[in-house]
Amino acid sequence: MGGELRAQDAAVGVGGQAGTGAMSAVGHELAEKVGGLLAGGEVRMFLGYGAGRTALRVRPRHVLRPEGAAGLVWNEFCAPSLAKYLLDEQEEEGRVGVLVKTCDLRAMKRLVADRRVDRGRVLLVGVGCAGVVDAGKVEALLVEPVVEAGVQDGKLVLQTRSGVRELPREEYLLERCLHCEDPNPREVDLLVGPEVAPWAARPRDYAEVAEVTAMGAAGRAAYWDRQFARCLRCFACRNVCPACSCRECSLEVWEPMWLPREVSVSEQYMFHFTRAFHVAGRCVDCGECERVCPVSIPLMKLNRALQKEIQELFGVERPWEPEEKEPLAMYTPDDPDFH
Amino acid sequence: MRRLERKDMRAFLDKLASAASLVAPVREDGVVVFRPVSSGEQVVLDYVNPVRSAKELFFPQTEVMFRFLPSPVAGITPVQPDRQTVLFGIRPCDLAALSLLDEVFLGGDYRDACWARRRELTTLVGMACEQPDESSCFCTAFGITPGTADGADIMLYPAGEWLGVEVLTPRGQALLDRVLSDGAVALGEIGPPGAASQAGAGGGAGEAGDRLQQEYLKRPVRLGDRLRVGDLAKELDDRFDDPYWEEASRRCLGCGICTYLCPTCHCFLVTDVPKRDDGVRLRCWDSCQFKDFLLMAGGHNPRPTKKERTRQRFMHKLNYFVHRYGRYLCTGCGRCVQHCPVGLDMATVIADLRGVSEHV
Ligand code: SF4
Ligand code: SF4
Ligand code: SF4
Ligand code: SF4
Repeated sequence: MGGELRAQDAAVGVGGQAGTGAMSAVGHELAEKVGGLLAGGEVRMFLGYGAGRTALRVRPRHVLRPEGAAGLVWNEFCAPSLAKYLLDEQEEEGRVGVLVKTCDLRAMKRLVADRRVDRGRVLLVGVGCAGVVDAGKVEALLVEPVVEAGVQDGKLVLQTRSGVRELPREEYLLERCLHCEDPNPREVDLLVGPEVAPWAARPRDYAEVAEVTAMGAAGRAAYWDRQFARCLRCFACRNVCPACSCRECSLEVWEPMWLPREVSVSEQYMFHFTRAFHVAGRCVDCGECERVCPVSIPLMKLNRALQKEIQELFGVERPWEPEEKEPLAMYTPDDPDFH
Repeated sequence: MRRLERKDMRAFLDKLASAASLVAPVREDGVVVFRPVSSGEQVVLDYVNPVRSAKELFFPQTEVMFRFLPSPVAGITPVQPDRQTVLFGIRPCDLAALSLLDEVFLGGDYRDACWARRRELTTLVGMACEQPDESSCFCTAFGITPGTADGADIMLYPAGEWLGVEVLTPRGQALLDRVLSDGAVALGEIGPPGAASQAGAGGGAGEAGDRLQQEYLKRPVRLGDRLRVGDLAKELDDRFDDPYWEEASRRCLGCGICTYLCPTCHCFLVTDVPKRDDGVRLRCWDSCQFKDFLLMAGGHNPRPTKKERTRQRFMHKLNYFVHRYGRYLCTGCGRCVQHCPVGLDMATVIADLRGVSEHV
């Protein structure tokens, strides 16, 4: 266990904790509460965020001992959803604590509904979230690393070695944040930090789907050929996805080989359509797949196209809610199309 | 070293494209990748490094090794690439990666025919790095610099309004001769205007070229300068059982981003695709980070958890390879640093292992 400390000491380095004063206050409250949970044996592990290489990046951090809680951070760059790490924790007894934003809560609900995670063995610590910044978008503008970052009066204030740069925060938020219906997670076991004021979330208008539809058949084929030709088949989109939790993924089965290892245009379509259809009606609209894709493949355009169909055909608006129908994953004897 | 005016760059690229099939960095949906191009117009020059490395030009993600016919006419026909190619814009870190992969594919008892053939057919036009990415480039950790030209046939050194052109091999010279043959593009001399004609005047062309080169060789790469590896390989001899591996591996997603973007990772699997009348044997990329990578028939998996898989990736690059070939199997290109979604990248791990800060 000595290694944990070593790894974490290095990670806390010079970059320190990003975020505004209010946010580091939440970080302190979080560290204190988590320290208590671990010391009191209420959880055997806590999943949160630690500082990353620059002020724009955080890293998932598994905290195993009360002392480790001090390295937890909470700031506007805490994008990664942590829920899926729970799949690694199925074998061992004891509860695991997880920090969740509203969007992460949807991922949790998905995993619980798919019976891959036992809600009783998870302690959800909710945090109000005023929107997460897309670090990649910001990095694309800057040559120098960001040493300190925070939000002031709706502006993203970035400190680099050679000066301070201000950006309109809203333009740099993740897509999913612009549509966030409620910045405060409900149905959690514990809350840290203050309530966050709700903002006028943009309605989901499927503009990105319309954009692709407008290309026409030939235009669409060329568009997706080009996107898929760039795909590495690294499966990061699948691995990060809360709706992709099969014990054995069809994409990796050798016998029968549903997905040949050959990377060609047609096999790339096979892969991408398999993934998109498998999450259709179960996708929680978190955008994590697209966020982690190293070659910027617009996966959400596929996901949303199916989401839109499912909404129109079956009236399913919020597929992550446990009481919602799962049109592509359920059976009913009075199905009108039943044969 | 000669001088190519920046305004002639497009014409220079057009000539390259007519001399052979040209592969160069292009910006596609906002992402820079190497792509075949037919004219200089398509090429981008303001890039740090294409996200997918140059290795795939020589070790494609899917390669047809040979075709086979079923009995009674059984036989195999090797499939060999035959196009002369020019790869333009390869950076020093990717050049170094090719020489590391030469060790693997050409250095031992076996000569890999597919790799060898593509290497023979490709002329490399390297590009020194004007603007290393400060938060991900760390080539200097491994003794590579923004100006290291080893392995290039021609190296270009940007210098404002012009670029220094250094020819390093006969193959490079042959390509340049073809490009310049019809006089549409010409190279000038380096040095103050008129210096070339005043032979013997202080600071001649040779010296000015050397200065430019030296400037690139000494250019700081902040992250790399902080992470110089030194004896790390030796220190790791005793750290196979370090609890660090398990702790660090917890955050790994087990995806293939790091290994597939890496210019030096080279694991592959071999699979036969039988069709009705014939079939092909393919070699396809594989990744040690995938959980079934070492899965045996019968179900045994020697690297059953993320701990073993994470350790394998870093020990291979920082220790095993050094024992076998005397060099680290990382060139500090920074792709994993930029793209690992959870910050379990080479720079972080080196910093953790050495107890230094990676923050620049
Ligand atoms: S993350 Fe991107 S590159 Fe990787 S498999 Fe998914 S779509 Fe392809
Ligand atoms: S280290 Fe990062 S990029 Fe590599 S497999 Fe793990 S999560 Fe993916
Ligand atoms: S290990 Fe990372 S930095 Fe090193 S060569 Fe591979 S991708 Fe680049
Ligand atoms: S790592 Fe070094 S060689 Fe590679 S792109 Fe960056 S500065 Fe250039």
